[in-house]
Amino acid sequence: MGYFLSAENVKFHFDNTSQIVFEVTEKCNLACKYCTFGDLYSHKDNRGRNKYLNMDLSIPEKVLNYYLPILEKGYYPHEKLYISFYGGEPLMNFPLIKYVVERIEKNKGALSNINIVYSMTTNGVLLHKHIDFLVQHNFELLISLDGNRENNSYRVFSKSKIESFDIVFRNIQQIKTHYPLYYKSNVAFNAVLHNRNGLEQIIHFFENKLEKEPMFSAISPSSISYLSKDKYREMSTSIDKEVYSATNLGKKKIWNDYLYNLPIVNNFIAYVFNVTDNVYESLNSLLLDRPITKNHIPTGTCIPFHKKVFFTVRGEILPCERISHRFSMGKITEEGLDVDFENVASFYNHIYEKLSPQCSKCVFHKACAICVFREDDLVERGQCLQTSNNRMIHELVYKNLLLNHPQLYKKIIETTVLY
Amino acid sequence: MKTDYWLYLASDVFIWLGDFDYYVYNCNNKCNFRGELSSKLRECLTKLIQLDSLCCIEVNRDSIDQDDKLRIFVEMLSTFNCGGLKQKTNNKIDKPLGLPPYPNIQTEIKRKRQEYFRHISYINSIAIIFDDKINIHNVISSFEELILVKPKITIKVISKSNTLQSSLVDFIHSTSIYSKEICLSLDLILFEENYSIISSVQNKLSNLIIRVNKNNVNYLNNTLKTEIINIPITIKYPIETELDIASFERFEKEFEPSHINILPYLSFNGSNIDFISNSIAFSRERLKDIPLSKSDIFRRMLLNPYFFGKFIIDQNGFIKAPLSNQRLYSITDKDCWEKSSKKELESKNSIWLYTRDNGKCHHCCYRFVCPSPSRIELLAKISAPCIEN
Repeated sequence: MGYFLSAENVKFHFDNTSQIVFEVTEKCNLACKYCTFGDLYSHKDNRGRNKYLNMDLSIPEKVLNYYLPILEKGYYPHEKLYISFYGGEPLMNFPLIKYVVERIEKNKGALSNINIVYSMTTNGVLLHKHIDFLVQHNFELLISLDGNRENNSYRVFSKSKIESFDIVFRNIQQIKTHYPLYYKSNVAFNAVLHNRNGLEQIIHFFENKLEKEPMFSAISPSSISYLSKDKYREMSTSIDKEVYSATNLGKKKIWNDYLYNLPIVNNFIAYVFNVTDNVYESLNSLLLDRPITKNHIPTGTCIPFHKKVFFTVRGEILPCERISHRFSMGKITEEGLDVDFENVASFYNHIYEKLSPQCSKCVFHKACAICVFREDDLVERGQCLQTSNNRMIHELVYKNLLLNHPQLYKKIIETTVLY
Repeated sequence: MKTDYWLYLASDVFIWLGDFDYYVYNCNNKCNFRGELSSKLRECLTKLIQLDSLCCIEVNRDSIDQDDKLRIFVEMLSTFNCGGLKQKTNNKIDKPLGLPPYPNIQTEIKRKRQEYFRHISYINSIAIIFDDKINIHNVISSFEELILVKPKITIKVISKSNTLQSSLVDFIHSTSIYSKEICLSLDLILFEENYSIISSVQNKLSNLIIRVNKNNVNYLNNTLKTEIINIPITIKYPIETELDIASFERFEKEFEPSHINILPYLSFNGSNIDFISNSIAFSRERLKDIPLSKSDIFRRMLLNPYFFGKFIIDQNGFIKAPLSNQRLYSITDKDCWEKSSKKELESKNSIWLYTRDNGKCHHCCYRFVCPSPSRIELLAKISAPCIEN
């Protein structure tokens, strides 16, 4: 019915996306116990079918053939365009990364109005081989590391099952020594919380050994396979639980320095942004009386391709790397990129249509953070299990939060930028 | 002194302090009241309106009763459903917290942190002073930068040749790619002599403004040929004196074409300051009857809606700020629109951001419910339009 999204909207966002992400390879040299592509999960996509593959150069060639002429027109609306490399472990298919970067650099003259930023998430094992190139092209690096040797022990090599800590740590130390400015400005860390580490331990390790404030996340709870539920329970821990059990000093540190890593704070930010009518994207939105709440469409699912376009090894086109490949919305063919924008718009509209009666009854629908593609069966059944009409419970949670952290609202309303 | 009560504000209630008084406005029920400040009340309100107070402070009931102004404030707060007193309990969760109304403008936070964002996105309207001198090619070339912004464009023709050049037609056609709304503004004589040209480009125009003046306004009804123009037409009628008001009323009554909108506007001629002052003056009491939403108040706090996002291109190809007419950049400069927008936003005297929180009004507790400083008020240098000032 097309009342939420039109094919034109979708095409505009596809052509002007903030981030182009290449799944460089399905291969990985590590076999982390909690990997979302590992045994713990029951993904229903084609990844790893027959065998793990590298992306063929013909894919980025077609992608860049499509995007470069659009970008060269110079009407790109965002402040930065991220060109990102994802895996598997992206450095296992380095020639593809090199090809993409060199092709873009060759066209840099025509793209002079666009601030292009290369970024990559890596396990750090192969960094020593390619760091010169990454530094030369100013890559933003996010290195996955769970803390010290013991904390990091779920991250093992896939063949030998040997722990990866020593190699990764050595590689990081080398970057720190040889490229101290780059290390300071371009390198970040993400640690996964589990039963072999703890939030305070992680923070202590990164701050003292690597002079960084890490990001942290919990083991993903969605799509856990039936047979692995016990294993998941044994391994996983929640950030809230970790904060609750932290020492007083630790709690103070977490609330001061790691505020935006805390799920409850992010939920409260969503509440402030979407419920209070106090937040505007720009002064022009204020002039036109369009608070962010007025742009609301059901659920917290991103507008397709607005934030990113993800190209898989097998030529599928998706709006995000974090959703199952069964939601592919296009294909790279012999001729080039094939996306039926009309189809994508109707697909989203169909989902929104199914969910909006439930959303409209949910008191916090405007602050919803649920991505329909990440919740099991939400797309198929069209039923949200998190719908709430109990305003009291949510408000009580936030009230408790504010009573314990009265400065929080001031900080959020004065300084938080999401858009 | 031991505190035994919580003094709290209801949601979306604003309080502003003046030198000697305060004003309370509730955006939900539109109730409002003013009162005088005592030092104790000032101290109390200053604390209450802090963001981290979360609309609630602890107070001592006896001290409220001992200060008449504070007591009256609390009574009024409760009478107008703007808040009240609640007896303190040992259970923290009973504390009546709220989220104070305070604007978070995403790009403003970025701007203050000196993060990158496109200042150009703020441009919403450009007026072009169009005469024989203007270099059309340069103007159109500069519009390339605005392709995603698509501002409203007003072409104000001031050609002395009495004949609109065919270049105007070309200009309108080219401009339509870069604008969501094109308005053509010209005086009565130019309109009369060129109306067939105008009709040929009317499908590119969103509306037409015909400017009249004292000398030709009386001929307007007889001469106006608008039958082949099918877009909204507005006649701008200048009012400079009391006599003009009477003339306007007569004119409006007698004017026949009903599809034409007549818009009177106050015009400052340098010598009619008393007339202008009297015309725009209002009493603060009147403000109480104007219902305001939270965004109305945020707008009054942060920007000037009469000028925000507007620029002028003069005949010499310079981008100018409205009102001050200060030259910012030439349209031939690279990224001239982005740079002009940035310069205007960052200027201390930015007319885009000129609010009542300036000059005399800065000390007034009504400063954010009073309409923003208008063009005529600033042109005539009237420091505050309310009669109390």
